[in-house]
Amino acid sequence: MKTWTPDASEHFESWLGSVRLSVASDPSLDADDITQDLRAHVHAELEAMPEPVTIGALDRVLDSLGNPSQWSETLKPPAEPSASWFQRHVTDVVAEWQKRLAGDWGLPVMLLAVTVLAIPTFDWIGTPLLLLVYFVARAQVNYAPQSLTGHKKWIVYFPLAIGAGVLAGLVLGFPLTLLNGNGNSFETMWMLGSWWVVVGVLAARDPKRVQSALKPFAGAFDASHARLLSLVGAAFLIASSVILLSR
Amino acid sequence: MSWTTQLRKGALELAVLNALNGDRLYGYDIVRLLRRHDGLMIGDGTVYPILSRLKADGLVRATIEDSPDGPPRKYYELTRVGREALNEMNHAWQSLVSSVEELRQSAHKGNR
Repeated sequence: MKTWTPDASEHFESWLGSVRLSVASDPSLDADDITQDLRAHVHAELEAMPEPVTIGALDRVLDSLGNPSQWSETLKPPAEPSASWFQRHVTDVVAEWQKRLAGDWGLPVMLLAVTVLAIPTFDWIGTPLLLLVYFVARAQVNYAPQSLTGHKKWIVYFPLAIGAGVLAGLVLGFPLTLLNGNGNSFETMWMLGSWWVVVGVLAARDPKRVQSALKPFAGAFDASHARLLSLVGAAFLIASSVILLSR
Repeated sequence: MSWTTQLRKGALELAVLNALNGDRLYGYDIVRLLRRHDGLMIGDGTVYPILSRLKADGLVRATIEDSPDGPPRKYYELTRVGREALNEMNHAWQSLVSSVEELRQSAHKGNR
């Protein structure tokens, strides 16, 4: 298979996204079927082109395919000559939004909406929702990065960042859930310090696991960061032990 | 939209079915076949929604095969229902063309 420049690959995926949007309003059309055929068509057309495939060469092929928004028009009966005000201003606008949500924007918008709804109910319902959103968003970033172009990428990265923060907070603050408000501040400090020493030692042994769990925000995490966490934990532990024993 | 574009759109579905008559082709093969005939194609991409619709209507079936040169290819062939529908459509088309031609000829000769 030919190699493509990153620009050309991204442009093609974005174009396929616009094809999906164009055909989404017609339930008799299968967007997956059509995009699969188009992939084969474009690769066959580019077979004779030099490598790597550039955005210019790709555009020439896409131009020959025509405007996707006109393809589904091909199959539609001629439009009614006069649409009512309601049809033009309400039904058509709703249909357009449904079309957008059914296309590649559907998942990013849903992830963002659930995140925004989950934040005010953070404690009971929100935390599991945010973690669920985090894992779905991570799957999207890991397994379908080509679908995240332009603004879509940032819509998915926002819930991902919130989810990663919640996950990191839950792991680092685990002793707080055990104490559940009991214990004085030095006892809390002692528990946190002991826990961070353990977490730091484990993370230093396998920093890649931390990078993977918090991808793409912990790419620079390494054993030195984990050791620093252990050191801070040890400092908390020693300081709180001295205070608790001197009482 | 021009009258010729409308006419092409109407004829394209019939052309796709005829291209598949007795053959098993993938989408790009069909496009190349239709390109050889002047006046049929509006844009190459128009063929793919038509194939998707024909498949949903049960007139064609598709099988996916790996390709050594690129992504997997979807090969289309007519179903029994598709062959029957194509016969009917070809008859209707022939009758339409004959009628229009007769009218044109008679107008040309002035015998009405």
